[in-house]
Order: sequence, then C-alpha cells, then structure tokens
Amino acid sequence: MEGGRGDGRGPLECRATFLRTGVVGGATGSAYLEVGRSTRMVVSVWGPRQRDRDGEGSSPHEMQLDCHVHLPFARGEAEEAAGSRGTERERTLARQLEQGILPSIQQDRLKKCCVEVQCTILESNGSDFTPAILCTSFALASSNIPLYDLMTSCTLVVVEGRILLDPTAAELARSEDEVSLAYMPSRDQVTFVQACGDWSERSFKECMDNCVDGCKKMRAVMRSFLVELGEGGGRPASHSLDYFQGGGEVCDQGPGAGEDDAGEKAPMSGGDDDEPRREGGGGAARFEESRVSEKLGNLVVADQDLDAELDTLLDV
Amino acid sequence: MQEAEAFKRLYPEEYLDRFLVKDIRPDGRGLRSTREISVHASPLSSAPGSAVVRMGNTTVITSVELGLFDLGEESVAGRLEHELDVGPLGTTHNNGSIARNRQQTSAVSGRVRQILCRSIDLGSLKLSEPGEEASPGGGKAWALHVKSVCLSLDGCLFDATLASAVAALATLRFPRRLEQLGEDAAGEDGGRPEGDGALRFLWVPACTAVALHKGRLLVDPTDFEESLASAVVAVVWGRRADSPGGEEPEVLALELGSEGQRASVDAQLVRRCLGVCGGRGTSQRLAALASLLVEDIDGGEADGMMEA
Repeated sequence: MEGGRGDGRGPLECRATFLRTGVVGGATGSAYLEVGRSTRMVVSVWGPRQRDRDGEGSSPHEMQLDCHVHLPFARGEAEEAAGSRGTERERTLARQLEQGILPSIQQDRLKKCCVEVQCTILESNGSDFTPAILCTSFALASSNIPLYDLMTSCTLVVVEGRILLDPTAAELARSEDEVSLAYMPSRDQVTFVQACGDWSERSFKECMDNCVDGCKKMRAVMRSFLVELGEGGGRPASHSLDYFQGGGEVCDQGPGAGEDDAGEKAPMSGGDDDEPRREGGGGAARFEESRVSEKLGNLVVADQDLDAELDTLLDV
Repeated sequence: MQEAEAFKRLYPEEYLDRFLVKDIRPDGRGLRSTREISVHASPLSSAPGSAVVRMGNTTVITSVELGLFDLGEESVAGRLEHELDVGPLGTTHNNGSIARNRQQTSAVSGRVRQILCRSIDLGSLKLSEPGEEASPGGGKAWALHVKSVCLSLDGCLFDATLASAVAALATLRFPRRLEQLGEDAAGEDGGRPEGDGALRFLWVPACTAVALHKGRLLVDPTDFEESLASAVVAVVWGRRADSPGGEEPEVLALELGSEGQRASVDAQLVRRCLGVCGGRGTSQRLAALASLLVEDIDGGEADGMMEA
C-alpha cells in the first residue's frame, strides 16, 4: 500500500469516468455516469415547467430547482424509504445537490419556472455527492436549459496524513478529514464546500487547491465527452445497452494512450473494491495525471475555439 | 418536424390514425413487430443477482437480494417477494397522479410476483442440511427479495419488468457458504440448494402486450400508443426450462386491462391477440432469456451482453 492505493492509483489520481446522455426517454435531458465501474447513476432533467405557486423556496417569482435522489438498492434503507419522502440520506443528498448545482443555472432566464432533477444512484462506491453533481451537470448540459458553466465537483480525504483524491468507500471509512466541493472552472468559482474533520494540523487551503485541481481535470473529461457528443458521436443510446458497459472509453483519448498499456499499469493487487468485473468490456482506463494534463494542454490551446464550439452545441 | 410534434400533441388520435391506415406505426415499426430486447447481466456488483433489460426506450434494472427465514408449519418452500419502483417517473408519468401510479405499479409488481412464483422451483430454495433428513416444518429456506427500478418508461412496463426480473434471477448465485451472509450459522457448509449455486427454473416466462386501437392490434405498444388504446392484452408465454428451444411456448397467463375505458373483448378477439403476439417477437424474447439461463448454468459466470 506504500505510495499506492488499493486499486493502484496514485494519491491525486481520479478514477476513470464515463458519461453518456439520452438514456431516459421523454426527459428534457438525461445522463448516465459510471465511475471506476462501481459507481453508477442515472440523472434525468424534466422541465422547465410552470412552478408551483406555493412551492418551497424563495419568492414565487424566482426559479425553483426541485431535486430528488433515489437510492433504490441501498441496503437496509428500503423499509425506511417506504414513506413518500425517502430516507434521511436521500433528502440530505437532494438538498446538497440542489445547493451545489443551482449556481450554474442562469436563473434569471427561467423566472417562475421549475426544473426537476431526478437522480437515481444504482450503485455507489465512495462519495455520493461528487458523482451526483457531475452527472446532473452533464444532464443539464444536454438539455436546453441555459447554464453559466459546467459544474464540476471533487472529493478529497485525508487518510493517515496523506491526501487522497476521489476516495473509494473503504478510504472514506478510514478517513480523518473530508472535503467535497463544487466548482465552476471557467468562472473560477467555488460554489459549494462541505468539510468535516480536524483541520488543526493541516492547511485547509492546500486541500482546497488539490480539490480544485481535481475539478479542473474533471472538467476536461466532461468537455471532451460533450464535444464528442456533438461531433456525431452523439448516438442517443437507442437499441443497445452500450452505455451500461462503457467502462473505459473515457480518458484514453490522449495522444499515445493505448488501452492495453493502461490495463497493465493497473496492478489489481488485492482488488479493493474497484476490480473491474468484466475484463473484456473495454480495458480499465486509468485517469493518469500526465495524460490528463496533456489533454488539458490541448484544450487550453484550443480554448477559444472549443468555447465557441461548445456554445453552439449547447444551443442546438 | 415541429408542426408534426404540435399536431401530435393537439390531435393524438388523428396523428396515430394517419400512421395506422398505412399499416405503419409512428416509430416506424409494422403493426405486429415488437421492439428489440437487449439484456445485460450483472450490472450491479453489490447484489448476488442483477440484470438490466431494455425494450425500445423502456429500461428496467432489477437486483435480487438473499435472505434466510425459518420454515414454519405452513410454509414448506422458499419465498419470493417483488417490489417495483418507478422512481423518477413517478411524478411525470400518468399526468402526475401519484395515487394512480402507486396503484399501477403495485398491480404490475403483484403480477410479476405471481408469474415468478410459478416459474421457479420454490421447493429447491430449502436448505438441505448434510446428514440430516429434511423434516417438514423445520429448517431454513431462502427468501428472494427481487427489486426492480424503472429507469426509463415508454410503454410495456409489465413486459420489461418481468423480463428483467427473470434475467436477474438467472444470474443469481447462492453463496457457497452461509458465513458470507453473516448469518449465525457460520461455518455450516452446503448452505445452498442442490445444483451449482444457480436458481432452478421450471419455466422461462416472457410477456408481450397487445394494444387494441379501433379494431387494430398493435403489438408491444409504446407509451403513446398505450395511452390511446381502449384495452391492453398482456399474454405471458412460457417455455419449459429443461427443453430450451425445443417446444412451442405455452400460455402461462393472460390479462386484460382497459384503464377505465370501455372495451368489448370477446373470445374471438382474444384468439386474435394470441395469434398476433405469439410470433417471432415473443420467441426472440424467450430465446434471449432462456439462453441467458443456459449459458449461466454451463459457464458459471454470466458476463457481457446479449442481444436478441
């Protein structure tokens, strides 16, 4: 375990992320997200529609964001969820999601409207908040709802004095401190922070900086998916389940990034939680820092073009 | 394109009729063709059995959890429970009527449970303890908690739920030793039914719905077609698990629902429905599920995706 983690990642490496849109028929926007093959969720966005006059929230003239989180397969919580309002965990997460995602929406263009977000977490290994933000933001981007920016998010834990990005459930359980944040990269704004633990011996700023770096990497991944989607790769998952086994297509588009290569670099020693269950499904892509920075470099060069491209895509 | 969309919203019946007179449906299918089914085994790593089934735009994911219970005087076999959650669709489907949704989903779930109880060998869920005669009215048996979540709904909720439940049960593996469950009977070996740790099926069921619209029969209707139909006939076909592929499928159950609208359905019509939906589409669905079962028993691990 020296220097590495249970699944062979470095301390500041994130797990491979896979995103796809158009998975829920009839919704305004929807997205499917897979992180490291053991976190899976589906988010659908409905609306905008007329908001309830007596709905919760601020003044009835403002936009209302109605978030719901479902954890249908969480153990031991099914009985509790029998009531219509869901479990404590679902409600807390829904509230956090709402707070985290709201600043990215152009609320002044959606006055008196209600946008509904339904997030179904099928399986989760690690933080729930981070993937929920990513997936929701991606689903919003694929709908026609006006946004300021993609919302990215990252979770960081401190285990035995070491900073680990994107922790698994096991790492989360062993952690001393934990920070989650939501961050809008192009505006350089942190819009949501949640931290717990003892910060007396550690610089909080250092943790925040690491988290923001993680968010920036995630943004590159999300943008590449969005661009790919608009370039004709946007096959709405029609008559196949390909989005359910996407696995590794993610971060491996950097120059010279061979999938086999990545597979070998990932010694599945002991296979904590993240052991890929289906070897054949497309190679376990590894979110390597160098590769991502290379990719990020490309993006930065073409930033202007990409922004324009992205704008046209989002408008379509 | 937008005009067509507006026309569809304003005059849904006329919209559908204009397609139907030309013997074609809005999504391009013929009146009697079903949508393709695709089955993906074991998407959830945490559950002992799970599957996703997609029929057109209807997607249902199912997981199976295991539990143990004590056999009493009156219960002599294992138990199966089914639960259906339409989750995200609950507020948007059926014009937002939550009561109607609850009613509908619990009805669907009840029917799925009935079919599943008849299709699997509940007697084999009893734990046979080594070196001890199985006595009636004692011992433990498995309880299967089957939970389905509808991720995307475009008609035929029952068909897709049943298919995904069957697929999830086909991928189910019983633990080799009881201690894996964390039960007090730790260390006891042979805590699984006879066989290779897979569930024994008697029948492989698959359902195809037929919607009735102005004397026409539409096989495997979408949500739009279902909402306009005067009645929906759901026929569950089954094929014996020990002879997959061989025999002609038999009818296991037939249900007629008319959603509060008037529908006159006579024997003649039911016969027509049976004739229409027992065709290629149903055999495809049956084959998809049955082959999953066979592959499972032979190969042990069920991986990857299969398409009918």
